[in-house]
Amino acid sequence: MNTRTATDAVRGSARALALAALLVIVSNEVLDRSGWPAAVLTGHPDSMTRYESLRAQVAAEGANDVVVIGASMIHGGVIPSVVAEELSRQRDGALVRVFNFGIAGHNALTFPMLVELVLAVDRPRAFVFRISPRATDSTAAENNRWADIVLESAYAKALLDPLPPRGRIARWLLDHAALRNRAPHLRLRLIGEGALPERASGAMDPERGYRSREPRVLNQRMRDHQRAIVRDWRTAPAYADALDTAIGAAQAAGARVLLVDAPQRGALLELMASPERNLQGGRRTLQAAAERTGAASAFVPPDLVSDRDFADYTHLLPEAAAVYSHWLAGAIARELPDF
Amino acid sequence: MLFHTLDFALFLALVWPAALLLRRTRQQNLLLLVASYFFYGWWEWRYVPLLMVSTGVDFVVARAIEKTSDVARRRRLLGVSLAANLGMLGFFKYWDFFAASSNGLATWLGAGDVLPELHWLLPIGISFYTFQSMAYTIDVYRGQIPASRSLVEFATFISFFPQLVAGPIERARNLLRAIAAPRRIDLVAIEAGVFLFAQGWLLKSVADVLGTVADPIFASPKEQGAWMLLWGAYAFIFQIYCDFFGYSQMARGVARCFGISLMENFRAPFFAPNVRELWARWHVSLTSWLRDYVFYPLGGTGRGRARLLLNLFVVMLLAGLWHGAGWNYVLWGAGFGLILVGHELLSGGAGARRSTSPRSALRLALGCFASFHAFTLAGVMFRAQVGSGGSAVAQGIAHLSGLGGLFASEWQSPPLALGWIVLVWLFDVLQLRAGTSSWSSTWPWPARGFAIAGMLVAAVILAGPETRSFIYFQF
Repeated sequence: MNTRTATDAVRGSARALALAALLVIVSNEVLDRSGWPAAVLTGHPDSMTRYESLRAQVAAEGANDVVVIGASMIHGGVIPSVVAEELSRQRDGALVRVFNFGIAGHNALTFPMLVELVLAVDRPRAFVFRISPRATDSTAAENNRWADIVLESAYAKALLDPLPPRGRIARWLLDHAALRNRAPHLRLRLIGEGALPERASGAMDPERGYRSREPRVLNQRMRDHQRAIVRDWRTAPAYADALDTAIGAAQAAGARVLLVDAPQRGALLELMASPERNLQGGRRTLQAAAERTGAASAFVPPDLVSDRDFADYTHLLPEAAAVYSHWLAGAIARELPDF
Repeated sequence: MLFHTLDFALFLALVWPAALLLRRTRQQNLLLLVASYFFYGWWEWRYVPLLMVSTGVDFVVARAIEKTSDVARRRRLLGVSLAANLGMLGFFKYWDFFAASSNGLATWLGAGDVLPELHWLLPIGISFYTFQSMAYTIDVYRGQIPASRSLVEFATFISFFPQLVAGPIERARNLLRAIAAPRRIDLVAIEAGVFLFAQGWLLKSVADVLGTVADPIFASPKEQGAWMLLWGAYAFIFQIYCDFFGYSQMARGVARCFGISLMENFRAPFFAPNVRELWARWHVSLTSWLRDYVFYPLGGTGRGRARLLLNLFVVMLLAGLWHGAGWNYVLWGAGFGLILVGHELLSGGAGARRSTSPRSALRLALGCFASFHAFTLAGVMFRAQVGSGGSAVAQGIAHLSGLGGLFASEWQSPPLALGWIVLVWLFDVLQLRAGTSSWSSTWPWPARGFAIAGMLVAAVILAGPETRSFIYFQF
């Protein structure tokens, strides 16, 4: 290569690299301004999308009054607008904002993280925790796995850890690098949700309840799946400790706390080795947590909904979700009158 | 320290400018050596001495081999090198496998455990650097290269961080020579490095996306229909291809930015017209290593047909065992070895010759299709250890049940994931046309700039904060 050709090659490379850098920066800005929500918790996409919804809503409309925390039953079983309307009606039309932060797969082990996420962007005056027997069951087939998925995700660590210098840099990048932030969300769009880890239940919409119009057939696969989750019931100290931590964090932020349960389908009870033990164990755990922390508690009446109101073993159909939401609003008004 | 993490970015941000500032090759090599040991120690510092032992033994042995013309003594010295490297590899990688298999057999025969299982952490990259080190000593023994006079150069050759933990398994005549020679880090080299790194990163991101398709299928194979299982096998084979090809390209890209060119490790294997050529194009640094240091010494193609078939099978068995200490790898090697033997028998011993002769498009397409599927189905056994469920997947595919499963309502991913597979194929086509994986090097600079930016943006968009390790790190 003669001198002139070598110089041309170096000049061409300089231009190519400069153009590439420019294009990366421009793409970054285009993506950043395109309105796609930022992303968190790639390891658990439901957590990611719900957190982003909360952040976006608070940024657009201001702080919420009530945030409801729980698993898929809450995600699809509580309709925020119903709760908000009922509370507003009881408060002479005062505006009440309610956010459904129920996320499929979550349980007591991950509730502290959920509270921390909420408090990072919101200051609700009341937290409602839905404590099902499963939420405190350390023998449930998937509870520990889900907790690992959620708590071990890179973003959760970067977001919630004490943040040593490396963590601070990671967090800054996650918060500021638009490409990095958009990536997981876009990834969901590109690969389709079906490719993501199995969910606790099917498609749910927190604004409208469970999407199914008809109850799904309770086939053998669903039966085996559910049996593995609810067959036994035992709560490890870690679950009770996590529950106390979550409630404590909410109270420390000045919020009132209400612990509630939710309707159980008869067919689900048949899968339990000892339904009485499961249900009583769950209730006792809820009550004990309320007594330890000073939180209020409320139990759903056994006849609030019927077995025909369930989409599957655990999730309510839209009409029943509205009924439960209505009851929940009453429980909040009754148990937390001054929240 | 994975290439596509913040840790590595910070590491590179310190090492690379320092390499640019140092003028003398000797100083650059010393820097690379320290950086490489740090890179290795970042993962597990207690295994750095192991790397030093392998380096020290082969440096001393190769010098001693060169100094003597006594054939018997040269052979003994080579034996020392092979024993040290293979002993280390055998102990750290295969001891538990050997002990567990022996104990299983003893238990079956009614005796108790006969050997203790140590459960030690496998030193990362040991299969790669021991092979690289052995190849150097064998080359010196054969008189093909001179022994290195510089311990720093030789140690840098063995531990060069871009290719230390997962290859390419370099040859001394390429990498050691490049390390010893003065090198220039100019913008042309940097652009080439950035291009390779961007390409590798995108491939790695695609691999991770395909992993999200393959993982659930292999996690519950008994609940999937046959077509879904086949789809899982496709997803996995492209996942591992993208994962390892991606790693290799990132390694080559980083090395290029330090002024060093590493060998191509993949040559569009899924466009190979037969299984033998596919294998020759897959993980080229390993397949050529096995060819040069196992297949040829066994007699290669020169000792008759039966011996050739046996040699092919033995080499594949070793290739299987090289990948991991598990029966699934042995079975994979044996299975693919039988496929190669079958191909050799069917092609009438003219496989290699035919592959270079003109073919009709249809025949070529059929050859590609058949060899790809043979490799994919053999890969199912490979996946049995990486994840689980390999045998169940194989059975499910064999039964061809559940025809409607591919587009069942709970699976919406295939068309989109297929798009990424098409992108990988496009890369292969560009590589085939250009004769190199740096396929944009002859393009005008604006096109090169767009190519680099496009791959970087796509890689970052696909990647997500959850960082998956490279599959080949476990080998």
